[in-house]
Order: sequence, then structure tokens, then C-alpha cells
Amino acid sequence: MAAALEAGSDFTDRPWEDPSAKPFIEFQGVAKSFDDVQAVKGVDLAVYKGELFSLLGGSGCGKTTLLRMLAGFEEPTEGRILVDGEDMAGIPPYRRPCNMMFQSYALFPHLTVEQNIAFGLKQDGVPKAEIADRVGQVLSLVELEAQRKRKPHQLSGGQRQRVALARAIVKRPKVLLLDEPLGALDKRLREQAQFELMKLQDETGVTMVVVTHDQEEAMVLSTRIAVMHEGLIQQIGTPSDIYEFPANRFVADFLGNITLIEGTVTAVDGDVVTLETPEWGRPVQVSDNRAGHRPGDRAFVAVRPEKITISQKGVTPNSIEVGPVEVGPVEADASANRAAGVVEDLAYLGDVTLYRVRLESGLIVEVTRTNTIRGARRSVDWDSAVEVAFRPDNALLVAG
Amino acid sequence: MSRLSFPVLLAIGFGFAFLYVPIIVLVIYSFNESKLVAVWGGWSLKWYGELFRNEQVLDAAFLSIKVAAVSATGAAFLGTLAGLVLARFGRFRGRSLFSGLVAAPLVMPDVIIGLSLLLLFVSLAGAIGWPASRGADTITIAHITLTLSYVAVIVQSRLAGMDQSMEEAAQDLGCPPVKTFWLITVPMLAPAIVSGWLLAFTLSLDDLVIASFVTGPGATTLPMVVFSKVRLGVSPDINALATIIIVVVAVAVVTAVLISRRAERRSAPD
Repeated sequence: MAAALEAGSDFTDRPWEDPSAKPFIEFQGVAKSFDDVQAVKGVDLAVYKGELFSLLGGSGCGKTTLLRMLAGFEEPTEGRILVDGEDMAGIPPYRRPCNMMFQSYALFPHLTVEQNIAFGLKQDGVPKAEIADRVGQVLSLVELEAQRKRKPHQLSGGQRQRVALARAIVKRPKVLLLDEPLGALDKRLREQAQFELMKLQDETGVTMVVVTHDQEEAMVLSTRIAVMHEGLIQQIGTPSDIYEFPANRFVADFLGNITLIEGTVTAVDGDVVTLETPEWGRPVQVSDNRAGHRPGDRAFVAVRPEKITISQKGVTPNSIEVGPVEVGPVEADASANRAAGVVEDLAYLGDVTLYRVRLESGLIVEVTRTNTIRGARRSVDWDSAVEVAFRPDNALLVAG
Repeated sequence: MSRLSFPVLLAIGFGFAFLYVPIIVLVIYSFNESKLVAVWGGWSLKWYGELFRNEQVLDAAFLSIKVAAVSATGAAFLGTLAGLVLARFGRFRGRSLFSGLVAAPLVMPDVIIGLSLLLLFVSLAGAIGWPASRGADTITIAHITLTLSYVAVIVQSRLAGMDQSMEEAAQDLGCPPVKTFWLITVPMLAPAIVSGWLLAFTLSLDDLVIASFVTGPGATTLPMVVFSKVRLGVSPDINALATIIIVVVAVAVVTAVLISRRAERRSAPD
């Protein structure tokens, strides 16, 4: 990052928005088939220098195949892969400027931590003194100096993960590839390791490509995310782009919780689209027409749970009200889309409470509410009759 | 550990007795003073001394060990390659045929292996003049054929349990494939190769049938000497010889088991 800051351009943090920026890694129409199965179907992708780019998707979406093609373990059936302007076709893994951290870590069991890390440098014929020097540096970076003489089987899971990372970065590759880097760690270690990865990226400025199925991990780590499904890229964008402006129904559904309401467009007035939807019960207005919908189109209104409010509508016997009920600005907003429903289920998650509200049509609307007041009794409980509402500018339209 | 009930203890006792009482009797009688095999005449090391003065037995033992060591080494080499091909080269054309052929000696009767190899050697000698005479060399080759399947099976199962990404990691770090094989695959396979070698050594040392078929004049292995001696009547020095063989084989097998167990524990640390 430091080098980029010196350049002083407006695009330093967002090189993908700069039309003159040169991509560092490029996939051009890359496809890969195994026997008769198409794992990757025509991917175009540009990753810029210093990015931490995530390939996100469920299992079998082709993300790992894409990474393995970049590392050189698979050759594309079609298309080209360029790294720093150089075509990678026919270059074996041991001559590529990439190093990979494997999902299983793949530490050599018969070598010590130190020897594991030094392995790559030895292959390059780096002088012994320099090897010792650089191994020492990365060992202190991952805080494993005390374990340098241990064998992998004598380390904890978190320590093994750090050895694998150290081994991948010690050669100072142009590109660092990480295959589910935090998948085998428990939740607390994972959070810590996430921040360590980001710190590492800031310090070294290395371009990283991460494969993950964990949307939270991708959101925390990445400068940009490519969401993949069935061998195709569904959307590329920053974490907030993808969360707030999903390109299609798959992306909307894959990242976080979302309520999708199916409807037919009845009117378009500038940015505001009105839909007729039996699921919601009354017409819904959405101020989002990026896709240019016309009256008669089928589309889904997508709303995130935190952008919907829930309020009580009549008191049921098993809810005792203590303390003030929060009333958001949406309550007063006349343009808000409202519907009546019953709380079918709720989950107290500590920081927020998640409500699942069933509307008359049977549609389940997910709503979260931040628990801002300590110890407040719930004003809305199981089986409460409630009203849910969201503002037209907090929802979006996605194609079916 | 749970306490064993009486019927279970009885069953275990009976099982062990069935397996080991004959061997224990043999070992005890190897220290027998008496010249008659079945009559106890007090403790003595006399027959061990007799054995070590018997040149025929010593020569045969030396030949057996030489054949066993050479054939085990050859089998370890070829068997490792076969195991590697079966475990790492994917589904190539003819894989199942190859896999079946490698495993065949495991189930094929020794008589058939011996006879077929004998026919092969005889016709080869007729066709290309080699082997000119049968003896230690032909026994060694026959034993490699027999034991390489055991090594291949052990190596293959070890490779199947081994994470392939380690070899990929080595290549990713700049190590070409052949070097990766020597630096990563072989060290990780070492326990399997060593236990395969020990097993092949033991099998070769024990073999009587195949060796009898493919041997020629002048090459007599230890099992052949024992067998011919017994046919003339059991002399007490055979007991001494058998005891020594039991000790050697037991040490080899126990070592092989210990090595592979240690390797397993290491690859599965948690």
C-alpha cells in the first residue's frame, strides 16, 4: 500500500476504477473442463497490484479450480492467464511467481518449522546466510521464534496455519494465493488471523488472491470480492457494493440474510418503481431502477433484515412490556412499505435479535433489531402481531 | 481398561496356546541335552554348537540371507514404483489390469509361481542363453516377483493416506517434480518402504516352494536344508536352527510394525 500512497493519485485505494491502471493478474476467457464436467465456464477477471481479492462461492462453484490454474496445477482448457503481463500458459508451478497457502497447510511432516520455511529459498539457491536471515524475519513476523525447532505435529492448529503462511510469504512472491486460509481455525483464532492477514498485506503490499466459502471472511478481508456460482462470476465488487447492491438474486441470497419479495412492475416513475405483489399484500415502492425495469416485468424486491423495522400492533398475553419501545424514523415515513404479520420465530443473538415474521401470504420476512438497551424486555415476542416496514430507498430490485 | 470375564480369558488363552505352544515347545527342546528329539535329557547348548560347526547349514544360511537382502532391496525399489503409479498416476489406461497383476502373487499358490518361473527360466535359457544355470540369481529374481506385490500394497496404502497437496506445495515453492519425489515423497514414504523391505526379507527367508523350483545345483537355501534334513529324520540341531530363525523373523516383523505405527502416529498428531 505504501508505494501506492506515494503515487498520490485519486485511485490509489480503488485501482479498479482507474481506467489507465494496468491489471496485475488477468484471466481472459478462462474455462476448464474435467472429462465432461465444466468446472469453470469463461471467466474474465482483473486483479490489481496490492489488492486482497477474494473468490467467494459455495463448494463446486469453480473457485478452487481458478486458484489452482493460477498456481499452475491445472492448465486452462480455454483462455489465458496473465501475471504481471506475462502469459502463464505452459509454465509449471515451480517456475511461477506465485506461492500458495494450502487449505490443509501441507506442511512437510519430516521437516522442522525452520526447514519448512527455508525449503522454498533453498530451491532457489539463495545463500545460506540470507536464508537464515529471511527465515528469522518471517518467524518473528508470525511470532513463532520459540517453535522454530519443532516438527509440524508438535504445533497447535493456529501455529500450523502461521507456519504455512510464513512458508508462502518468505519467497516474496508477486502473488500470494490462499486456499480457505482460515477454514480450519476456530472462531476466535479466525478473527485474530483475519486481522493478521490484513496487517501482513499492509506491511508487504503483496497481491493476494483468497479462495473462501465464508462470506464473513471475504467481507472482512477483501478489497474486492468475486462471487462465483456454477463456474461463472456472478458479480465483482467491493464488499459493500456486493452487500448493498447485489447484481442478481443469487448474489443477494448468498451474502447475508435477505428477504426477497416477488412481484410485477406496474409503474416506473424516474427512479421509483412500483410493484404489484401478492406476497406483500399491497403495492411496494422501491427507489432502485439500475436494471431499467419496465411495467410488466417480473422482479424481486430485496431487503436486508437490518433495513426493516418491526413494531408491535396490539398486545399479546405473553409479552410484557418494560421500558421504552424504540420508534425509528421509518414509523413516521408515509412512503414506507408496510405489512402486517405474526412473529413466528425469534433468535436472541446478543448484539441483535433476529425476528422471522410471517405475513398473511405466508412470506417470511427477516428483521433484525439492535439490542441497544441493556436488559430491556422484548416488546415483541413469539406470536406477537406486528407491523414490518421498510423505506423505498433501502430496498433494491433484482432480476429473477 | 475393562476387566475381562472368565469366558473371554479362556478364549484368549486357548487362542494363544493354539498359536504359540508348538513354538514354545520347539524352543525349549532346542536346549535339550538328549540326542533323541522327543526325550528330555536336561538343559544344554550342545546343539547350537553342533549347528555352528555344520558347514552345510552355515552356507545355506548365508545364501538365504544374501538372497533375502538382495531380493528385498529389489522388491522395495520396484514395489515402491508400482505403489506410486497405482496411487498417484490417476486413472490411466490399463490401470485395473496393472493393479490386478501387481496383487496377483499375493493370492497365487507358490507352486504355480514356482513352476511358471521355472518354465520361464528354462525357455529363456534356450532362447537367449540366459540364465545359463539356475541358482542364487534365479531364486533372487523369483523372490523379487513374489515380494514386490507386498511392498507395492504397503506403499500404495501409505500414499493413499498421504495428503497430495504436500507434493504440490513443494512444487509451488520451486521444486521440480523429480526432486520433489526425492525430497518430500521418499522421506514420507520411508517407514512404508522400510516395513515393506523387512516383510520382503522375511518372506524370502521363509520360502521353500518357489526356491526349490527355480534353484539349480549348488544353491541350497536354509529352508531347503531344513526340509531335506527332516526327511532323513529330525535331528536336534534343527530345533536350534528353527529357534534362531524364529528370533530373526520375530525381530524383523516387530520392527516393521513399530516403524509403521510410529509413522502413523506422526502423520495423525491430534
